Amino acid sequence: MSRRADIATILRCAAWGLGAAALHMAAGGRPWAAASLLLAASGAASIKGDGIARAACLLLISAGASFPQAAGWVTAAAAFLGIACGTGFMTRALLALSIPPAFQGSASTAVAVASSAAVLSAFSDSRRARTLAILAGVVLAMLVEGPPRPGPEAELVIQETMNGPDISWETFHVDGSKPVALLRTPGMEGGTADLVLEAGGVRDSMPVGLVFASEGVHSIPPGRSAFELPLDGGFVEVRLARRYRPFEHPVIHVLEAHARADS
Amino acid sequence: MRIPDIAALRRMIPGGFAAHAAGAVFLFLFWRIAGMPDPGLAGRLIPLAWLLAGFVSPHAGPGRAGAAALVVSAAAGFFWATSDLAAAVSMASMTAGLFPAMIRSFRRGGRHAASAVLPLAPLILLSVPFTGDEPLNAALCESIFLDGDTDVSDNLRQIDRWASVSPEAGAPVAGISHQQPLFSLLLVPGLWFGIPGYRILPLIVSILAAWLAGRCAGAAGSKDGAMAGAAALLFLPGAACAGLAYADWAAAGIVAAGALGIGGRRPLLAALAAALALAALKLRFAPLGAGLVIAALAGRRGMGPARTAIAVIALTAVALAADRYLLGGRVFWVRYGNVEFLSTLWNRTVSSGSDLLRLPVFAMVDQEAGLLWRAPWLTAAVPGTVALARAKTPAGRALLLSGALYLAGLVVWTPMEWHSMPTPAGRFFIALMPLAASAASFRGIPRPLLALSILASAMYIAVPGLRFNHLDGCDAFFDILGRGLPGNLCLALPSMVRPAATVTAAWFAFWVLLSILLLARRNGAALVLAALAVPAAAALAASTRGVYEAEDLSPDYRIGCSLYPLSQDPPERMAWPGSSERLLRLGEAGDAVVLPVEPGDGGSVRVELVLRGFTSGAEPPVLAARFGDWSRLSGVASPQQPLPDWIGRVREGEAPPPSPGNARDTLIVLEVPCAGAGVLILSPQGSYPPGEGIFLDRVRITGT
Repeated sequence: MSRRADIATILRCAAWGLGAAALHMAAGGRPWAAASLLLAASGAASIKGDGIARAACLLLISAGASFPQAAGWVTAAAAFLGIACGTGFMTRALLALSIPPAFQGSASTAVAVASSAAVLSAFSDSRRARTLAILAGVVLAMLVEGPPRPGPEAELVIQETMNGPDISWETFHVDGSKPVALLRTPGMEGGTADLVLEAGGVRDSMPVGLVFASEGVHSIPPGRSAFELPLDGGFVEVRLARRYRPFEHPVIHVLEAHARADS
Repeated sequence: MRIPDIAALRRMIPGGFAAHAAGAVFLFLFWRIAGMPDPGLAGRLIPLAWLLAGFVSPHAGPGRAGAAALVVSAAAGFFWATSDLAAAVSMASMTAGLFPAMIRSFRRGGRHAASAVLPLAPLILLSVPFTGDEPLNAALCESIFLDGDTDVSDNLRQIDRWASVSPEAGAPVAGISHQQPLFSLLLVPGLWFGIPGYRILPLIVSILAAWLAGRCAGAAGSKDGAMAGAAALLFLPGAACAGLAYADWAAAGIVAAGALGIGGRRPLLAALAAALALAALKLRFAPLGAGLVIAALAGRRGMGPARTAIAVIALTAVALAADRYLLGGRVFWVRYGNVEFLSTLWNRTVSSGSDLLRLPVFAMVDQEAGLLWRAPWLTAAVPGTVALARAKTPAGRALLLSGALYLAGLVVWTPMEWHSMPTPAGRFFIALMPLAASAASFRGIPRPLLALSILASAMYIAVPGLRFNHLDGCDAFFDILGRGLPGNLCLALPSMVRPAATVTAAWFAFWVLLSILLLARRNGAALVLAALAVPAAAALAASTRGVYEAEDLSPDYRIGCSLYPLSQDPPERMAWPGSSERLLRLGEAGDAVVLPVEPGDGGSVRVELVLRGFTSGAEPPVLAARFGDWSRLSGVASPQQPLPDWIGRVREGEAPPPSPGNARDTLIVLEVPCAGAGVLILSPQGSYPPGEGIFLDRVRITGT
C-alpha cells in the first residue's frame, strides 16, 4: 500500500473516531464510553474488503454514540462484528481495545468473559476461529453469570381500566427482562383482587414468583393458579422470584386481573 | 467397536447442510442457555428455519454474511434482558442469516426457486396473527365449501365455536360479501389443515407469483430475472404478506402471467383471461387487467391509439353487460353500480386534493406506511423503470401500462386508504411487485440496498407484530427503538397522521440523497450520510422533551384514562374533519394524567393543552389542573366542526350525530408557578357518561 493510501486510511479512521467520541459527549455520554467509541470507530473505519461489515459496524457505532443509554452493548456488538470480519491485525486490535472501556462502571464477570474471548480472538488470522471464539465467549459468559439484568427502571406499570368501582387490567407477563409488574388500584380504599396466572419455564416445582397485596405475600407455583387477594388500597405487585439459571426461561403470564371495591 | 469414518461421513453429509445444522444447534443452545423469551419463535421456529436452510442450500453454507449474523445475534442476545431492542435485533439477526441460502436457492430456478422460501414457511404459517380481511377470506372459503353459499355470518364457528364474523362495512347485502369468491376458492384445500391451512395455499400462491415475476423480469429484458423474483418474495413489502390470506399476491401472479402471455402466441387471449381473473379476484385489481388488455391491443398490427381506445371501451361495455345480465350483477353492479357510490367516489376524490398531493411523499417516508424505511431496494426501481420503458419489450410494456393504471385507480378509488393499515404496510402495492422487481433488477440492485432490505425483512419476520400499524402516528418498530430515549422518537419521524412539514421534508431529502448516492455507487458518502442521520434523529427526538402526545403516554404518566376511540382501526377516525389522531379520554372519576415538570427560568412554566370537550349536556366538561398548591379549573367548550363540503353533498345535508371526533381542537394555555420540580396533574372535574368528557390530544410544557 502506498504512503498516501496509509495517510488517507489514518485520516479516515481519525475522523470517524473523533466524530463518534465528540457526538457521544455532546449527547451527554460518559468519557470512558467516548474513548471506547473513538477506538471502535477508528477500528471499524479501517476494515477493508468487506464494505457491508464496515458499514454495519459504523452504523452501530453511530447509534451507540447517539444513544448513551445503549452505548455499551451497541459498541460491544460492533466490536465483536468487526473483530469477526476484520482482516488486518491493527483493525482487530483497535476494536478489541474498545471493549473494556465500553463497560467501565458497569462491568460484570459475564461481560469480562465475553470481552476476553473477543480480545483473544483478535490474535487469530482465521476468520472462522475468530467467529467461533466470540460465539463461545458469549455462551461461556452466559453460563458463568447469565445475561446482564435489567435496571430498577424495568418495573412495569400495567395500564388499568376503571369501570365505576371495578378495575381491570390487560393481560401481561413478567420475565427476566421485566421481572416486576405493578397493578395500581386508584381510589380503592378496600376491596378484592382476582388474578389468574400461569407460570412456567422452570425445571422444578419451586415457586416461580411472588404476588404482594396489602400486607400479604403469596407464592406463585408452576402451572395455573388463581388468587383472591384482599386489598387495602395501594397496589398489587407480581414479581419473578427466579434468578438466572441456564436452560430455564421463567415466566409468569397474568391471564386475568380484576379488582372490585367492597360494597 | 467400529470407529466411524469421518471422511466418509463428510462425504455423506453435504457441507452446506452441516454448516446450517450447526447454526441451528448453536441458536437453539444459545436461546436455552441465555434464558431468552419467545420459546416458539426464537427457541424453535428460527433454529428450525436454519435447519431447513440446510436442505435448500445443501452445498453452500451460510458464508460470511451468515457468520456475521450469528455474531450479531449472540452479541445482542447477550443483552436481551436489558432492552427489548436487543432481543429484537438478536432475533432479526438470526433470521437475516437465512437470506443468503434462500437467495442462492431462488437463483437456481425451477424446484429450487419453489423451495427457497421453505425456511421461512413455519415462521409465516405459525407466527403471524390473523388480521384485516384474512378472517373474512377464511370465513368465505369455509362458507363456499361447507354451506355452498357466500353468506359468512354463520361461519368460522364451525371450526372455532367462539368465533363470529360480522358483515363488513362494505358488504352490500346479506349473502354477498365485500370479498369476491375467487380467492377464497383458492384457499379451500387448506381447510383440511385447520387454521394454519388457510396460510399454506396463499404461501404457494406467493411462491408461484414470485417465480412468475422473475420469469417476467427476464422477458422484459432484465439481466437478473431470478434476483427479481427473490426480491419480490423475500423482501418487504412482499415478504410481509407472503402466505397471508390476502388476494394481493394472487393478483401479482396473474399480472406476471398475463405479461408473459402478451409476449407469447395469443397475446390478446392471455390478456383477456388475466383481466377477467383479476376482476374476479377483487375489483381493485381491474385496472391491472385493463392495462394488460391495452398493452395487448396496442401491440397488434394496425392498432392505433383511436382503435385501441374504441376496443377498450367496447370490451369494458361487454364485461359490464355480461356481469349485469349473465351474473346478475354480482361482480360490479351490486357493489358499485349505483348512483350513491359513484357520487361518493367522485365527490371524495375531487375533494381530496391535499391528500393526493401528499400521497407520494408519505408512501415513501411515512414512518408507519412508507416503503423506503422497509424496502430500500425499491429505489433501484426508479431508474429501472426508465430502462424498462426504453427496452420496449411486450412484457415490459404490459407491466408498465398495468402498473400505471393500477396506481391511478388506487389514487381515485382509495385516496385515503392506500396505506392499507392496519394490514402490513405496502400491501396495496404488492400487485405492482412484478413491475417493481423487473425494474429494480434491470441494472442490478446495489449491495447496500440489498443488505438494508434483508435487515428490514428479517426484523418483520422475526417479530411478526412489527408489521401491523394502526395509523396512530407511531410505528411499532420505532416505538421499540425510541424506548428509554429522552423525548419521543416517533415525533422526530414523518407521520401523515401527525404531519410536521420540516420533519417530513428533512427525511424525504435524506432518503432521496441516500438513494442517489447508493445508485451512483458512492457507498462511502452514503455511509457518512446514514451515520449522520442517526444522531440527527436522536437530537430531533431529544428536542421533543416536554411535548407529550396524549395517546402515546405510557401507564407511568396516566392513571385510568381510556383511548378514544377504543378500537385501533383507522376507519373509525378517517372521517374526522380535523386531526384523525387517537385521543385520551379523561371522563371517569379517578382518571388523571400525571406529567413531570422541571422549574422554568422565570419561576413558572407554560403549559399548552390541545384538547376537545364533549358532552350531551348544556354545560361544557371541566378540566382540573393541579401543581402543588396551585390549581385551575377550565371549562372546555369545543364546537362541532362543519363537515367537509363533499360529505355534505353526499349525505344531502344530513349531519352525522355530534361526536368528540368531529369537535374542534381547543387550546388552553396555563402559566403554572413553579419554584421546584414536581408533577402536573390533569383530571376531569367529576365523571361523565361513556363517550363524553375531556379528550386530550397534546400537552406541551416549556419553561418561561
